[in-house]
Amino acid sequence: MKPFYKYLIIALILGIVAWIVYFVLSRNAEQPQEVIPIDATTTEQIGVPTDTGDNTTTTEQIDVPTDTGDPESGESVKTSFSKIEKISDVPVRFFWYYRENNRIFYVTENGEIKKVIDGKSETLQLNSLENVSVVRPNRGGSSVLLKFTNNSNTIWGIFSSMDEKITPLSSSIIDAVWGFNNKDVVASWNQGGKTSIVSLSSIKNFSDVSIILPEISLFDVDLIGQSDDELLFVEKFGNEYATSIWQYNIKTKLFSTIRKGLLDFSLNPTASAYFFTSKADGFVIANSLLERIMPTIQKTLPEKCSSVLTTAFCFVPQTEISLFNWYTNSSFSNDSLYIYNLDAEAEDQINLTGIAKNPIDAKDIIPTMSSLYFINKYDNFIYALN
Amino acid sequence: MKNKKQYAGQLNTILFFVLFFGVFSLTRAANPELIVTWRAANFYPISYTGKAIPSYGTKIYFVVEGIQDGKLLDLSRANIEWRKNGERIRGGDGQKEAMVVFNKNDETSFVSVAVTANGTTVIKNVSVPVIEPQLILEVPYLNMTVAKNADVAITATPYFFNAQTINDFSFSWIVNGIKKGTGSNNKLILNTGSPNTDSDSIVNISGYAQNKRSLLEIKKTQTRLFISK
Repeated sequence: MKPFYKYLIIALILGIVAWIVYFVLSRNAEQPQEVIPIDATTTEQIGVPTDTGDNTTTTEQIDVPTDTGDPESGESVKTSFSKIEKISDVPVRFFWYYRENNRIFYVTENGEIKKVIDGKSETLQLNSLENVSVVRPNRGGSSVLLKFTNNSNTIWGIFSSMDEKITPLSSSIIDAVWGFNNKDVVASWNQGGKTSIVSLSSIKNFSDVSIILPEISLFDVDLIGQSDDELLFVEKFGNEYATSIWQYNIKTKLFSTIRKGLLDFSLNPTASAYFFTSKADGFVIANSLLERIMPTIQKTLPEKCSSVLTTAFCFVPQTEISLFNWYTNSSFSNDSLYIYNLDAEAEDQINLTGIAKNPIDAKDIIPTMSSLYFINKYDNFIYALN
Repeated sequence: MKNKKQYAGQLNTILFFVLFFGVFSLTRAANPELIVTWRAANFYPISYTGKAIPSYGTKIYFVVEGIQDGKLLDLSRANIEWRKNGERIRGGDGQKEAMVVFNKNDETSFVSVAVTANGTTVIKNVSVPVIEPQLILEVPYLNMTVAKNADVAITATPYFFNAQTINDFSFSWIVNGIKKGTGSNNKLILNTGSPNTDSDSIVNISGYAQNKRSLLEIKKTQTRLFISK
């Protein structure tokens, strides 16, 4: 063999090995994140002490944040109910459950915030909020992201269930969700006409902004904190429009398309399970990787489901209803209630005969250790199954 | 001599595989993917959390991003060309966004974008659903059936009109052939009658919504309400 070939082969092998090493290292390299202090012109009053979130929440799995309910009490989730109670005194737009005080808060159709104490609703001493369009409590409900209108401008704020005050956030925020640590806010951030994905640290009252993903524009997508390191960008449900899901890994800085061509797709990520539906897959109970974790016989909409610990509850329409018709209130459903044991992969119906006298078309399901809360779309009141 | 030849043959095989996978890897690296997302700037109620679907005349805003080997591409210097139904509408370096309006004269509703960077051009086509504006009559009663002696509230909710706010609409109603007023109130309250009186067991309801900013945008929706004895 000629020496020329030997050298060529050795050089090529070394080159390939070097390329593989570089490729692997470059994908795993963690680079320091840029920190931008907000300047005075973009910062609004941040006057409320930082809500440190709910310390009782822990993370038990890598891929899904597990809502542990009340881990110290050793209680199990209530799975049989004997009565239904009307919780709100007026129709509501949104509500949440503040676990530490075992309290329900809700936003009325007029933009008032009320809380329920001993079965009675009390209006908080806050100005009514105009056009509340988004309410996103963190796990445990101690802090709540709100999107509303103030002097004709759409802004975001954080409501503290403990202090019962609202702290406005920067007007640069386009969309905001709770980070996987349940304390920081991950936001779509517009400054100078450029949109980035940023993290707002709770330690400094959400005034320090760290760029997670610079200069990215995606229209009509929902942001979801999939794990400590991963964000999902989920295209909104579009009637007859095929949607996609993208994932960004904060550590490896890799951006990828993980699903596309999804028709009639809707996703509801909850504490212990992700619920989704699509034309191809039907109704699926999945993990955060969107992998089916148990078989389901009943067909329902993800928005009618939620989970606590290893138990999921789904209201199931007795006759099939399309997502678009349900979203637009074009038709209303008559729901049964099903319970799913995520560990045992078991699906069972909960008998509501004799409990619910009026039909239920449930949305915004919140299971707690002792009750199952929901809004009935027929009258938009909050109800609890106890 | 024979061993030497055999050795050379093995080395040639190794060389072949090394070159093959090297070229394969390089080819794979040069395969950017375009992500095109859009939003329609038309009217829908604040409670609707889905994607707004454009109707004719709706301004639709598009944006393109590129990814290659998991990395977001910097398109600020890339030549980007936008086409509506094949006709060029915008182009230039770093033109990541475009606005498109489809009219009734358009036979199709395609938008394509071509991005050229480092001598490579990638094209992405998007088929945009364009629908008629919708008027939903919200009747929150199971099977549209209501008991007698009840006040029934029916709400007319417009979707995907080329309007800004609910104040841009004028609503009117026809109940069993009788006109029931016109105005900005999108709620109709009906009393289903005393249980002791004979009254219609089926009520035919027509709701109308007209966009005051564009008077040709008018939509009628009909429904039937059943009164149980």
